[in-house]
Amino acid sequence: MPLLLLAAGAMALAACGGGRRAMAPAEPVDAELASARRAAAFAFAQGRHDQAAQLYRQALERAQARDDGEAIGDLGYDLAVAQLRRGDAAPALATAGSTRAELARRRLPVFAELVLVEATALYRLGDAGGAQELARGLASDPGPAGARAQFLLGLLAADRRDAAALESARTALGGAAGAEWQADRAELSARAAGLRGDHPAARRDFVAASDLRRDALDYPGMARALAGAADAAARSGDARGAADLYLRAGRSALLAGGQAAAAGAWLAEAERLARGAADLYLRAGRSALLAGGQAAAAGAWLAEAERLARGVGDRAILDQVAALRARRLKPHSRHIARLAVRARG
Amino acid sequence: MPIRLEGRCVGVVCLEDWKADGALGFARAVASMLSVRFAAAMRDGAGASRAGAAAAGDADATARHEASDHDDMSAPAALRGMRRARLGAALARRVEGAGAGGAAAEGRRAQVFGHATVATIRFTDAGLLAQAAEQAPAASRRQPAGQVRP
Repeated sequence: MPLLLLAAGAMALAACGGGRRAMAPAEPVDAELASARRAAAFAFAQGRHDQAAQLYRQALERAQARDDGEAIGDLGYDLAVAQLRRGDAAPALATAGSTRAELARRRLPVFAELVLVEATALYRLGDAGGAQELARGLASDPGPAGARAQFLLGLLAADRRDAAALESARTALGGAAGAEWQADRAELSARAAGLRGDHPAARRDFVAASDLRRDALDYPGMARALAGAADAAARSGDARGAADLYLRAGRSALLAGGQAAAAGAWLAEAERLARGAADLYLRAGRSALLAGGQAAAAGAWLAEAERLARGVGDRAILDQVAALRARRLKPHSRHIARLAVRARG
Repeated sequence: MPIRLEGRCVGVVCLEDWKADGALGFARAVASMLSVRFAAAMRDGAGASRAGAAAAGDADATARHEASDHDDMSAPAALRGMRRARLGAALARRVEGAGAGGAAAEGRRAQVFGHATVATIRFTDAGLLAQAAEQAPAASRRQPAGQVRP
């Protein structure tokens, strides 16, 4: 594409505003910084976190060139958020740490969101103690950073199976409106139900959380909630439902990006459960068919075995389903053949 | 590519690579578009001193120009106002195509191309600026805490 430079000289007069009322002189703006920041924010809003991180880094370097403390703080934080969103917890932690040091050097206050990024990065890196310490420090914050810190505390409590702390975090979340915060509450409710051993309730709450995450455009969160629902389904004995949920979670994680390892694990689990469920349906169908008197149920179970086996490409089960169907159809086929002979006769 | 208005050159569109496919045609279209906006300002009776302001996209001048094209300057003010609003929305969709409303309304997905050179023409009508500000991401503020997701 050609580089077009628009130099409509008369346009410059617009700024002068000949004959227009006098305006207070505007504060000069660093165009390079503003434009890199705007582009980064736009890329972030489009879900292009790779590109957003690259552009935030450019903007941050410009802010450093300007030695603009406030912009360095904000852009360092934005860069860390973009890195977290692309699944790079370690670089996000490093960026947040250097931003914190930069603010300290200038005796500027460390804002809550920056601490939240650090806590979240530590949580993702498996440093539960570090994440807990930072999130606790934020828990009294009345803003959204405090609410998200409570959610993080709830997740940490669920991971260590601490039902009381989980309930406390869930209560502290309160009734903030918006899909994002409702999803946080639903997810903590699901984790609490799971700890109580109420797996059907956990599954229901995880599915509700996944719907809310979708509404909030948080697809990685949605996939995580679906995987939680799959786990609850498997624990309550619904292998087929669990396989379907794991498949949905894994596929979403794979396509949305940033969760490659989780996607692989969820898809593998979906395949394992689907094979197991297909085998169970096959055995149920065969047993019903051979026992007789349950033709409709046998047909439905074999169809389910076929659907699941087809999903995972299990040729052996598909062949067995076909063989059983041929056996079931045999008397029927003989009858049709007799009718055909009669009709020809 | 000169931008001519009544025989006078009032501006110029410069092309770095004029041999590129479609570059001249595109520049002509841009020049014509700007020329029309200059003309609207001239018809507004503001004279050469205000031509620049109008060329940059004075909304009133544009609306009057649209009205004169349809030969209905006598249309009630409310109708002209509606036309102006429609024109503003249409221009916002075309010019600010990357904006969420515009792109979604036309079923296109706005994209960011990091390594492509592009030209942006921004008309600075007050209405358009207000709309653009509404649609653009809040670049002057840091990302909200809700974007930090465990």
